[in-house]
Amino acid sequence: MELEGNTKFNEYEEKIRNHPAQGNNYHQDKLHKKKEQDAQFLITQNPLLMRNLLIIIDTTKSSKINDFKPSRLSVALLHLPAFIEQFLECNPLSQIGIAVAEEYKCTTILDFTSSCQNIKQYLSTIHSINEAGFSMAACLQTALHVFSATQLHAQSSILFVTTSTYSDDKLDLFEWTDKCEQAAIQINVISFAGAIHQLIKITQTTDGQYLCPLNEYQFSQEILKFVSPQELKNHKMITQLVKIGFPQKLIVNQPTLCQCHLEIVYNFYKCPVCYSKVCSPPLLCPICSTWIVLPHQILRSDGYETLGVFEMQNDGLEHICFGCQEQTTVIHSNCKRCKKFFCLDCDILIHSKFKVCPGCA
Amino acid sequence: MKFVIDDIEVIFPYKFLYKEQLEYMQALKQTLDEKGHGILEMPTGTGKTVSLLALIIAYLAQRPNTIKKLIYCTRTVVEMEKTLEEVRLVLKARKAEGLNDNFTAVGLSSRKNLCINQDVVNQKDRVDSECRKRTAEWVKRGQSETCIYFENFEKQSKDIIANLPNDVYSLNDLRKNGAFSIQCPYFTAREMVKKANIVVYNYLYLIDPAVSSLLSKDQIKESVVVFDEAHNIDDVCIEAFTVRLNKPILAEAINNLKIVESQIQNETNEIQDRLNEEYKKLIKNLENKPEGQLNQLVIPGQIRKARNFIDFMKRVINSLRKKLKDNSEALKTSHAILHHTKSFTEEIQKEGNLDIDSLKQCGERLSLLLNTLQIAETDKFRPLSSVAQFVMFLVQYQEGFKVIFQSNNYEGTLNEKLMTLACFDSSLAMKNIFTSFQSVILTSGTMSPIEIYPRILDFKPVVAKSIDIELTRNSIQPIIVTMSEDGTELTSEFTLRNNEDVSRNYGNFLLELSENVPDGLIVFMPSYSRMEEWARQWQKDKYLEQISKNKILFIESKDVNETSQKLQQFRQCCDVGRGAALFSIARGKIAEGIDFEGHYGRCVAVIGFPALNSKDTLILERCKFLEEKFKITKNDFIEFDAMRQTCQCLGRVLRGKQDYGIMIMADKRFAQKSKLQKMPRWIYKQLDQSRCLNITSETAITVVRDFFRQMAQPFKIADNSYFTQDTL
Repeated sequence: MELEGNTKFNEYEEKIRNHPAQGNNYHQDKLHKKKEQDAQFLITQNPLLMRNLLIIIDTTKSSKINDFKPSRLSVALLHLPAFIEQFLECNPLSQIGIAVAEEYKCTTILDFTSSCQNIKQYLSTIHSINEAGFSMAACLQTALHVFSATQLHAQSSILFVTTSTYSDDKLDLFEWTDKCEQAAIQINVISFAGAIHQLIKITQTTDGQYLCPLNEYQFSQEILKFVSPQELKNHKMITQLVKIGFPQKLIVNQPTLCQCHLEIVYNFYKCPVCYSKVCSPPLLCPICSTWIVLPHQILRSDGYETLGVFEMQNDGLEHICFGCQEQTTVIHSNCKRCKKFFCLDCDILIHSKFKVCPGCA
Repeated sequence: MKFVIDDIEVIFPYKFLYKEQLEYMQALKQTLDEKGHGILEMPTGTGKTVSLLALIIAYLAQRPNTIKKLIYCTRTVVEMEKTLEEVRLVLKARKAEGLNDNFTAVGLSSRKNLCINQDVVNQKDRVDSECRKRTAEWVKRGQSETCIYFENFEKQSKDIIANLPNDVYSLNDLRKNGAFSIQCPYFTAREMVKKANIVVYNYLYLIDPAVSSLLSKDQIKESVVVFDEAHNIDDVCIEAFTVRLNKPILAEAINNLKIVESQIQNETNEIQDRLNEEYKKLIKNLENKPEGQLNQLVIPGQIRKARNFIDFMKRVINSLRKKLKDNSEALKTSHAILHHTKSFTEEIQKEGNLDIDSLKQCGERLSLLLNTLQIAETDKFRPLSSVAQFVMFLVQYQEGFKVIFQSNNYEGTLNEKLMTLACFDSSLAMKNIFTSFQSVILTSGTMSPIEIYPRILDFKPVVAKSIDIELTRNSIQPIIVTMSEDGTELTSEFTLRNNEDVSRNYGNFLLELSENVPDGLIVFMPSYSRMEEWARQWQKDKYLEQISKNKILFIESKDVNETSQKLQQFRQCCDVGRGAALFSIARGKIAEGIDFEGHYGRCVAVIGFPALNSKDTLILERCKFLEEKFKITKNDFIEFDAMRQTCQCLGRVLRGKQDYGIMIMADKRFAQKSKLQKMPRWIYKQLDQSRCLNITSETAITVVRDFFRQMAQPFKIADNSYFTQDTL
């Protein structure tokens, strides 16, 4: 995807740079910030409504190796929460599940949820085990089992965080890879150990990525690549009508149990169909299978329609910013649809937080 | 693509030409221009063969008067087929460019690989003798079994071969053609070799004196001879000239003679007639020869008659037997006994009353006699012919040979006494080749130090060049490990062989490696006995058990079939992502000629210094000889031999520009300067002296981990390392 109005933008930036009298650092900083923000915005702009991501963390013996300090697993667990936060932020209707690979098996420790806190809490319980024996096929088996309970219209993908240099399978790896391919499950790998031929092949056949960070910083950066969905050649998602319910939020003094995760909560949502209590939309109502979503989540995940990149205007005139109602300075941009002008501060704020254009709304 | 080197227009079958390939071709062209011999070293997997073929074929086409024929020698049948496919590629590219140059390329191999007669093929090991039974000269006269393929070939060979279109004939093509037109592929190939411009066959067709005589008649002086993978050529030469005899062989030879004798005494008219005829022919030959010239074919009078010859051979064998017996007594007290060839010959002569001229010709006479008697099972008579060969070499060459008696401890449990006529001079076999061909080119991936080859093979190259590889990223990482984690030395030295710490440290290092190397890991050890020792120790300390958790473990065995099966399984394990480790011998079959491309070989570890056994008499004598004649010291030679073997092992890992791998040398002796100097330049250049030389095993593992992460990054070959049609 090309950054729209990019050429004009660059021209403008050059103009400022070449004008020492006018060009001050403040404006340049702002411009850079907008540029970054726009790029980020475009990346995270999500053509898919729903995504289900299963993170499988390799906890076998090799995760203890201390070439990443203090250990490979700790580094992974340190940077995963930030990734999960951003993932849920950018894909509001998506859910994340966590599984750990142990000796020749793989167990899910958290079913799909979009509660960031919940996930973080479970992440902190993961620890390394002493035995070797990472098995890719066992993981895929578990993943297929987990995904079989989710909706067909969501995009399913797996993110492996591996530390082993092999995949010791008791099952037939090819068979399970084929099954994943048929189910249109995308397999991504982020590895601490280097390139394993067969795993690269698997990621390629399922349109995934195989990344191998060199150091801790690169790990924290590369893992963010999975935030935005990758293009799928093997697109098998089924288009279908979904029953959606907008829940009512309730805060109570008495603790109560939520139906979805069976945990004690004080504030919860009520399913509009069956009045069961759920804690963290979006999710499928465990009783009546209604898709419970909050309105702003739908709005934000449908980013294309409501918000585009604002175009830089360089007409030399002064306008009134529609956001803060103040006179804009030399640099300003406008929304393509409603033609309202915004100053750079408001522009950045809208794209990073609101994801809705106040003019159009 | 098409380009011009000086004034030769070369058609290259690929779209890209690497810089080193161009350099290689330029060096090659210089050799051909000066009509001399050359040595060229270029790293493995960089398209050596194709650049060589592209240039020589272009040369053949454009300067037909300078060179007329290309003889390409390979070591194995697989390499031969690969080479022929490359020839096909080059010729196809030339055709696509609109050049019509009428080249025929043919591969020649033994009957075993070419025979299509099912009755014969089913005999497996006896293909040679079965074939001879059906195709020898006398069979045509209407005896029991004949081969239809051969008969057809006899009838219309001239026409068919003349009519064969100009093309590339690999062994497979030959067999297919043969089956189609009912012609014997083996004899067709032998006939075609005379006519073809490009011939591919085994080393031994040129080097082995017994085989090369078959082809020597049709040799053209204006030929280019290429020896591929020539780093071991001196060993091949020496092996071809060395004859071994022991008690069973001599006894068998006597038996052979008895069979021959009984046939002669079997007074049927036919055999007597034939013997008489043969005798007359020999006399006639004698008359026809011009005077003054000592022709080899003249059989001396003493052995001209069949009966006399058999008596003569009996005396030879008896005197050899006596010698063996005498020396066996002495062997009880000493390790080995040496004899100079001259004194040994004299003693034998005295013993059996034999004259030198007859000894010289006895090999010739023997084959003549066997022919006359219509004996086809030549392999049955091998003991007798080895005896003949033994005495022939003994008399013919005075220098560079020695007779060695030693007890044979290696094979079987019997403490058998072995009599060896050992050749130490590798230049003997090559001398003939260097003089009878215009250009001889030795090429390989590892020929360093390059200066030593002209010395031991005794010739003057016009070009001796080592060509570098240009790598976009550091895709090979040589590491020299000298210490274990706790600082004790890692070495396979003989004095420390019973030290358990050493083997434990090696085991620990391998365990760490197996955990950190993805896919294929290949480990080379100095010898079978050492491997067994270590494996036993590792088994005891549970290292093997732990390694096999990370990788499936394979161990090379002496059985060829078993090993090839294991290799297949090894590859399978790498394919499914399980990863595999292969323990093999630095001088074994796997070290030579088997490629571990891509993920099959991510790391090669040479554990211990693979030096020759310097206690062995044969090797000691060879070193002595080299020191006397070529002024190469014993240490130098042993180091050179060990390093070339090591580098050959290491070279298994890199098979192309996209490929990458780690080369580990784990012995403190590798870090010595004299050894480092003997490394090929392309490996030495990649050795990071500050980071990877003389390090502990723990540091090495860190380097390994970093390396594999580095290599997993997306990568593209740099634009400036190759040429395209436009950038040339």
